[in-house]
Amino acid sequence: MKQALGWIERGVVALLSAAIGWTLGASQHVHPPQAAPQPSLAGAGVLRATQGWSVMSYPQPPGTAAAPSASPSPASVEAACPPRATPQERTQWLNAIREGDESTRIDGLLKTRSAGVPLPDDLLQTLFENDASERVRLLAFENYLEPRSGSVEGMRQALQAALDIPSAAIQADARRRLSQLAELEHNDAAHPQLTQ
Amino acid sequence: MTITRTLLCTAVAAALAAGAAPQASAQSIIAMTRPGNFTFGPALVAVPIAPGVFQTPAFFNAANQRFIVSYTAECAVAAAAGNTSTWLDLTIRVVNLGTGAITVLPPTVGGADAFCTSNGTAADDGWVMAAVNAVGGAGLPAGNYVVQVQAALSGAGTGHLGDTSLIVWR
Repeated sequence: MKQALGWIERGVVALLSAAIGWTLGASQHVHPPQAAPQPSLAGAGVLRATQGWSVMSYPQPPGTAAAPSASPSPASVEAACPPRATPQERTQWLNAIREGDESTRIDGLLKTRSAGVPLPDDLLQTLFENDASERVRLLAFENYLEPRSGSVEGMRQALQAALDIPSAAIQADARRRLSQLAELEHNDAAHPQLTQ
Repeated sequence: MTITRTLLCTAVAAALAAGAAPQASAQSIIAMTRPGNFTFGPALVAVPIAPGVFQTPAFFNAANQRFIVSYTAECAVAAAAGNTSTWLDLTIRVVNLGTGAITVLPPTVGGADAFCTSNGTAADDGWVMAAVNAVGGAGLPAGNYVVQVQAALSGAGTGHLGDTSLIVWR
């Protein structure tokens, strides 16, 4: 009987421990919506985030930040990490890119880039083919080219296709890049990497 | 009593264990690769980071916000036979598009940081996959930036940088 009670006691303890641990762990993974890094001159939100203790934070001049504690709290470590874009922020940025004025569209493109949020190809293509702003077209074009960087043929096809776009700026940019690509191919062919 | 004490200890242990795993993560801002080889003489040159591309897309960076440029490349230096001390010096720099200010990122500042070094044969051999993590952001104002890569040799010879990757992340 005593042995049975012992087993029951252990079982109850194990179940309760699991429940408590799961509850506490789950509560840590629920992040409240955070403000995205604002591409403004102040950048105060991001600066504030880097002042906590973290191996990723800058050394702060004496007196400007709290001294590192021996056992940093999880909250302070998390605050030092870059805030991730929430789905709401992504939607806002996409709407700004689609519907905003020129500076808003540029701002949206740079914000998504800074937050590590990739934009869909069809949106970028629409922008660099049709946008009224030359700056937006060029910014969208370089974003469109980035994922094609690993393939010479993929890059060449994208650049050649851009030659047909009725935009002098995009055509000039594509021509310049095609010329540089040809030079690089010539350079590569002149110095082949040989095996013995 | 024993059960109560055991439960209490277990709860504390569970709380500590749950709190000891903060969710820290990095995010990539730019990722570019370049297949093929790029060969150059001893003088300073701009290094392509993608086919036909010599600088990254622009990205916004807040004032003093740290970012890291990770660059890898298959590297070789061909110098005169017997020469084992001509190195390839790599420079990773950011350009502030608003002001035009150029900042070379440590540890690629100066000409003494060898990315790879001649191996004593005159042939284009001794290839290695080399890497550097350049750190930026400290002291930089908020703005839009692009990253560029430059290379030079410390002496006569031929440098090679092939199959490269460049990741900007924070």
